[in-house]
Amino acid sequence: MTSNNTAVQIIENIATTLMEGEEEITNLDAAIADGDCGAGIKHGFQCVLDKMDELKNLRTGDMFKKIGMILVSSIGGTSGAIFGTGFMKFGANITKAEEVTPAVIGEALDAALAGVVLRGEGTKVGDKTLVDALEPAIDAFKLSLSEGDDVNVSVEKAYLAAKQGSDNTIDLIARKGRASYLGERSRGHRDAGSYVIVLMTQAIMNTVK
Amino acid sequence: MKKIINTPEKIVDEMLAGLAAANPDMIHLVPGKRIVVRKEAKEKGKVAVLTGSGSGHEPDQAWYVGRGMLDAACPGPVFAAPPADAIYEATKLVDQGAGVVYLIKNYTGDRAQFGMAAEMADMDGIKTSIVIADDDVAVKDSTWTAGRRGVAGAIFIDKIACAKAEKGVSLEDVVEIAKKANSNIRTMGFALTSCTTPAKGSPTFELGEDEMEIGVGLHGEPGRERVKIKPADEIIEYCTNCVIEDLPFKSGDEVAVMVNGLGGTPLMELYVAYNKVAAILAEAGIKVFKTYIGEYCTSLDMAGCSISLFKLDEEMKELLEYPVEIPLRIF
Repeated sequence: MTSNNTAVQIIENIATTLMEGEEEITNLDAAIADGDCGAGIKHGFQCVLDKMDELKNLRTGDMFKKIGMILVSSIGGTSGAIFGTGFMKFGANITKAEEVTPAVIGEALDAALAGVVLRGEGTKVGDKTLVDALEPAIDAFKLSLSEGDDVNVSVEKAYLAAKQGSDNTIDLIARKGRASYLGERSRGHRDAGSYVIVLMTQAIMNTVK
Repeated sequence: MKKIINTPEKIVDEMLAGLAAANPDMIHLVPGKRIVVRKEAKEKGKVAVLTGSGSGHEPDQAWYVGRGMLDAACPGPVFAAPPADAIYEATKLVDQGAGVVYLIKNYTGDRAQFGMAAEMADMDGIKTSIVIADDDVAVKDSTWTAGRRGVAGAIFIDKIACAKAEKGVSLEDVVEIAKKANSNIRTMGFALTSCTTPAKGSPTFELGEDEMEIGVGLHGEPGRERVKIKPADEIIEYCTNCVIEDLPFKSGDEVAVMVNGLGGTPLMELYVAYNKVAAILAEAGIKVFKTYIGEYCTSLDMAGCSISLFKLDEEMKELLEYPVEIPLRIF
């Protein structure tokens, strides 16, 4: 779990999964926002894959930081800043650690979430955003670890929590992002950002199985 | 779509290259990044000021870079926020030890990217502070932001903040006067046509032949309402009164006035508009210090204009008149 090889595989699988899911992400986003989420995510992760040869030579923490920076500029706008900050904060916390243990990963995830919330200017669960999937996923991961589960079990629990969190967004009224201007009309549609988190956790789960 | 264009992918960079080629005495570009910097750095110890927003609003902002005005500008892709890494690079370039003020307009993308750049600068020990323009009275919480949007009135804030920075005051002083300016500026605009982005190749929204969008946003976002087109005096009276009532501007106040063309409107029409603005202000007992009529913050080829009033005091008047050397000239 802590070797750089695993991290590289995780990133590559996340990128592939997201790029394969572009159409669905786009459709979700087009329903209640401006439909650019899928293309932006795909472009961002393509830029990451393009730099993979250089990235895989970095220490794990630095690799995640660099990936975050690539996502900020290549996705752009608010989404780029939010996804990018998540990766950057995660990487910064990994860099600080002596050894990358599952507990360290849990703390780095907390930092990633805090960064995402800050960049979104105070996003909470219930606002109908990626946080609706991300926060429960991280909570489930850490709880599972604290209960003594193996890491691959913890990741699966994170994926299931992300999925539930994303399902929950369907009935919510959006309070952040472009969808928030639709008010009541945003109800009945899944949030695209939360779906991106589902795909990411799914990719991680499939890598560490 | 008929534009003077080679490809949509290259249009911003070719525009910037053209700007740099035309003004080698005043500005230069940073290779590999979309950053426009002053040719001669500001003196050490003075606060630097930089702005950034999507391209498509020219002359905002790269044309405001130069002595007496901006230290740098970070143009993003058309109608999209500039990336944090460019803002961060620009910050390191222009910082003269007294910190950097970021002047931005109220749009979530810009707030997010500048917020990131501020964090990155902070890690390098460079002090930054973000001032957000939100002068648009038309709508609140529209499709691009929460709260009011920043539109053409932001250019006044740029002018004031930059002139103040030239005086060698602290970062906090520049921020304070920028915020004071923002709180005294109000703007309202309308569109007669939509605009066509290079990437899309067709109008960003539909507007009928006999319709206008009151309170349109700078990227074609919805305004207050869509109505049948009216004679100039009627539209201008409506918009000017919205602005006057919002602050409110009162009899005895002294103002700067901006009639800003959105890119697709001939100068002739901007002066027809100002003719009515002048009459309304005279009747309201509001004194005009200076007028700014032309294209200051456009929306590509959108026809229409915005009207801004900026309530002045003696210091603001002095800062407005502070000389600048920027790539905008008649002769």
